[in-house]
Amino acid sequence: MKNFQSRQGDIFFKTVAKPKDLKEMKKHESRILAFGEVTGHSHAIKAGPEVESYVNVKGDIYLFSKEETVVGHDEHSDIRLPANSWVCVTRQREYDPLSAERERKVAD
Amino acid sequence: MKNQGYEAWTSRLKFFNGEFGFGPLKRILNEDGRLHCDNGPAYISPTRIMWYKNGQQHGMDADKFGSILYYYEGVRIPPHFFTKPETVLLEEVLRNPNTEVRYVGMKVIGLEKIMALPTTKIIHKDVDQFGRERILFEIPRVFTEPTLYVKVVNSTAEPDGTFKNYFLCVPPNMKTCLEAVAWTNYMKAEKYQPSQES
Repeated sequence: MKNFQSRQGDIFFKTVAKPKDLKEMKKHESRILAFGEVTGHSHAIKAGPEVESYVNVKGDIYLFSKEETVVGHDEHSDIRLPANSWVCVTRQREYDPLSAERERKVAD
Repeated sequence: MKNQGYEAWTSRLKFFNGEFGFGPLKRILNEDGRLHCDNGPAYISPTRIMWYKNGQQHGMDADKFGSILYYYEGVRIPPHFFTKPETVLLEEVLRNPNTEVRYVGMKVIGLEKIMALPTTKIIHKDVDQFGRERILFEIPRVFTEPTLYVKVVNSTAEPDGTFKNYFLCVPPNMKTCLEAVAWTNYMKAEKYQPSQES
């Protein structure tokens, strides 16, 4: 597995082994990976190759494509995800001393 | 003599009544199903008007009986935190007996300003692999545990060519900027090596 890590704004991409709990995840039908509620801009897979996409209960997205996949955003440069690799997509978090979970996702 | 406070209060209440009106029940949710509206109240009931962001109450909370309360992320705050934030002083915030109000007050003052105060302890400073400065600092006396923030610089320039600073709250046990930034991306410091940041 090629080690790949990249960040586009508050979204972090890293290659991972094929998730073992894939069957427990939901299919992620949209090409939008994250929507910025504050800015209104999205991190989205650009038109191109077919991409397998799943989302787990925490909201982390797992992507796989046989070809290189490009993720675009209006305010950030494109990120090129490697072909033939599983990529985990997470939204940045921050510590939240006021919440029971002690953390929250960063609001874009 | 006119009671200006009373006049201001009735005029605000009139504004709320005219602008939004109480009820019928209206709830605006975000994609996560939490009460959320950026530019107005997210909750309007027959008796109350409330503002929320991502399920957390903020801004103003008016009720039909004339009370106007001020909230920031669900914490009731003194009115001047909202109406005159520029007058809020750190000493005053830290004297407040309520930890939540202290935490909110700190955000109202602004972390850029707080970071520069002599009472703020700089824990670690470095430059990331892309040449951008990072600062991990501690603000004392907010909670019993240390309150830590890491300052990072946005990778993308603003339209005027400048780069914005961002402040991320991180767990109290963080020792370095790298460890703190890695934590925000669910990584350990020794494995955090992004090849590209945009």
